Amino acid sequence: MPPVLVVEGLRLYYGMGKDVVKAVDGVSLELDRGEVLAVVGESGSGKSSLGYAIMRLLPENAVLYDGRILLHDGGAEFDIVSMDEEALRRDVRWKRISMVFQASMNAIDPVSTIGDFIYRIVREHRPDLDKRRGLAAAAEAIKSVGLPVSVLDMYPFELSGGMKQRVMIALALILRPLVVILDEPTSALDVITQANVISLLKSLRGDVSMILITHDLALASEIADRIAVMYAGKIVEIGPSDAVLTSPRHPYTGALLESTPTLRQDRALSSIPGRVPSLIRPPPGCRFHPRCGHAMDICRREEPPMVDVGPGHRAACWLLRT
Amino acid sequence: MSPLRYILLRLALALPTMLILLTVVFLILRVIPGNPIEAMVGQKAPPEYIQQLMEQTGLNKPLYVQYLDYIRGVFTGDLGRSFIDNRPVIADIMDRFPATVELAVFSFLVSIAIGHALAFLAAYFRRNVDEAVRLYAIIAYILFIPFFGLALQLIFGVYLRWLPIGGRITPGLEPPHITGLYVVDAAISGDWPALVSALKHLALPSITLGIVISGVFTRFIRNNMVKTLEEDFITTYRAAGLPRWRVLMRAYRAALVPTITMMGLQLALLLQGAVLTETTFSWPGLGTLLLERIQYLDYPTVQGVVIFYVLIVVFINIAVDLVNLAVDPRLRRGVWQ
Repeated sequence: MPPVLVVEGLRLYYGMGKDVVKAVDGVSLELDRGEVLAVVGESGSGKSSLGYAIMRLLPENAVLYDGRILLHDGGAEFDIVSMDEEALRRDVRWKRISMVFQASMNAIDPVSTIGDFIYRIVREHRPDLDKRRGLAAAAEAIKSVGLPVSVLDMYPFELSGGMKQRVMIALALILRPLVVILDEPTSALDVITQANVISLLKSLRGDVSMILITHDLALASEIADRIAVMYAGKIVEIGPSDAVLTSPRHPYTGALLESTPTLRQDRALSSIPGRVPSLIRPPPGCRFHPRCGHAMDICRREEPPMVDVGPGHRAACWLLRT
Repeated sequence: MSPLRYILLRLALALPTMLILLTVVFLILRVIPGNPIEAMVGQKAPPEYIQQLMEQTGLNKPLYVQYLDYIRGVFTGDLGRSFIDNRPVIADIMDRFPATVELAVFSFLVSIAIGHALAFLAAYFRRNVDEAVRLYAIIAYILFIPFFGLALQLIFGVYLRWLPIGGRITPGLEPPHITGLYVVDAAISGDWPALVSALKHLALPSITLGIVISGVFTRFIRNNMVKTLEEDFITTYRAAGLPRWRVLMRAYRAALVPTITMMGLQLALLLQGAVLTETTFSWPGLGTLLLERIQYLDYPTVQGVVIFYVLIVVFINIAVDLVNLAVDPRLRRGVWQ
C-alpha cells in the first residue's frame, strides 16, 4: 500500500521586511496509513510552519511555497501544493486532512455554541446532513473524546482548556480524515489534562494517520511510530521511534536527548550550546555546525546529504559518510 | 440582574446626566447677550407691554426661582410654553420630530447599506479594492454637506428633474396624521401618491447624509473585520474548508458588538436632527427647530429640545445594550450571572 502522504522538497519562505525567513527549507517525508509520525525540534525549528505548509495555510507574507505534497486516497491523488484553491477547499481540507491547532484555546468561534460551530464545518463537506443529523454526528464525536453531550449547547468561554482541546480533536476527526496534524496538542494544558489528552490520542492510533508536532520528546516516544527531528527548517534525522531515541545518529538528536530530563537515570542535564540559528541567514554547510562538538571542515562548506543508517532510519551528517 | 432591572437602573442613571445638562443649558442661555422679549417684539415696543410679557413668561423673577420653577415643571412633565408661538414646547417638538425620524432612519439605512457593502468588498479583496474603499471613506467623511447636497440638488433636481430639492412632500398631498411619519402614514392609509411623493422628497437628503456617514461605517466595519480575521478561530474555519466569504461572515459576526454600538451612537446623533442637511433641503426637523429658536432666545424650547436629546441618547443606549446582549453570549452570561 502506498504511503498516504508523501512530502517532497517542501519549502515555505516568509518575507519579513527585506529579509526572507526560510521556515521550511526542503523537507521530505512519508506517512503510512495509520501511522503516527512525530516531528520534534526546538522552538523556531520550523516544525509548526511545516504543519501549516502541509495544510497550505499560508501566511499573508509567504514569498515562496513549492515542492510536492501528495495525498493518496484509494486511486485518487491530490497535490496540495499545486492544486486549485477551490478543489483544495472542497476535497482536501478537513475532509481528508485536518489539524488540531497549537492555540486551541482560541480556535473555536467565540460567539457560537460548540454544536453550531461543529455543524457549520460538517455541513460544508456533508451538505446531505440536515441540522438534526449534523448535531447527532457532532454528539457522537463529542462522546468519542470523552466529553458529555451537553457541551454542544455551551459556548467556548464556558469550557476549560482541556475541554476545548478535546472539542478540537473531536472536530478534527469528525469527517474521518486520512491525516490529522496535531500541533503541540498538549502544550497549553496542565499535567493531568495532558495525560488525559495523551491517552485519548493513543486510543486513536491506527484509525488515522497523525503528524504530531511537538517539542516534548516524552510525548513523541509515547505515541509515535516514527520520529523526525527538525533543525533550522530541515529534517536532520528520521526513523523508527526506538531507533531514534535509543541510538540517535545525528549529533543534534543526541544533544536534544541529553537535554531532556528522565526519571530512569540520575545524570546532569546538558544543554546545547549556542542558539537556534537564524532562519533568515542560516549557517552555510550543515546548519548545526556552529553548535556541534564534532564539526569538521566539510561541515562548514557543504550541506550533508541524508544517508541510510538503519532500517527506515536516515540522518544527514558528514560523520556518517566517513 | 434581570433585563428589566437593568433598564430601570439605566433610566435612573440618566437622571443626573439630564439634570447637569439642563443646568448648563439653562445658565448658558441666560449668559448669551440679548433679551428674549426684545427678540420677540423688537426694541420699539412700549415698556408696559414688555413688562407684561416679562411677568407672563416669569422672566421678571429671580434666576434661582426661574430655575426651580423650571426643574419642577420638567419633573411633572411640563416643559413650558414657547416664547415665540406660545404653544407647549412638547407640541413644537412633536411637530418636528417625525420629520427628523424619517430623515434619520432613511439616511441610516443608506449609510449601513453602503458601509457594509464596501467594508465586505475591502475585506474580501484587500489590496487595490481596499485602498479604493479607504479613499472613498475619507472623501465621504470630509464632504461638506451644504456643497455636496447642492451638487446633488443641481444634478438630480435642476438638470435631470428627477427629484424634488426640498421639503417633505408636495404641498396638498399630506397623508392623514397617524404617526406623523409621512411614509408610514401614507402606507397605512393606502395613499400611494402621498407615499411616492414622500419617498421622492426623502431621496436626496437621505442619500446626501447617508453617504457622508457611510465613510465612518465603512472604515469601522472593515477594520473590525480585518482585525478579527487574524484570530485563531478564523484559521480553524480556513483549514476546515469554509469558502472565503463565509469565513468573512463569521469574522463580521464575531465583531458585531462594537459595530452595533457604533451604529447606535450614529443613529442617536441622526435623531437629534442633522442641522446642515435639514437647512440645505428645507427639511422641517428638530435640528432646524433648535437653530431657529436659539436665534430668538426661546429658552423653554431650547431647554426642552436638550432634554429630548438626552432621552434619545438614553433610549438608544439601552436598545444597543439589549441588542448586544442578544448578540454576544459572553455579555449574556455576564448579565444573568
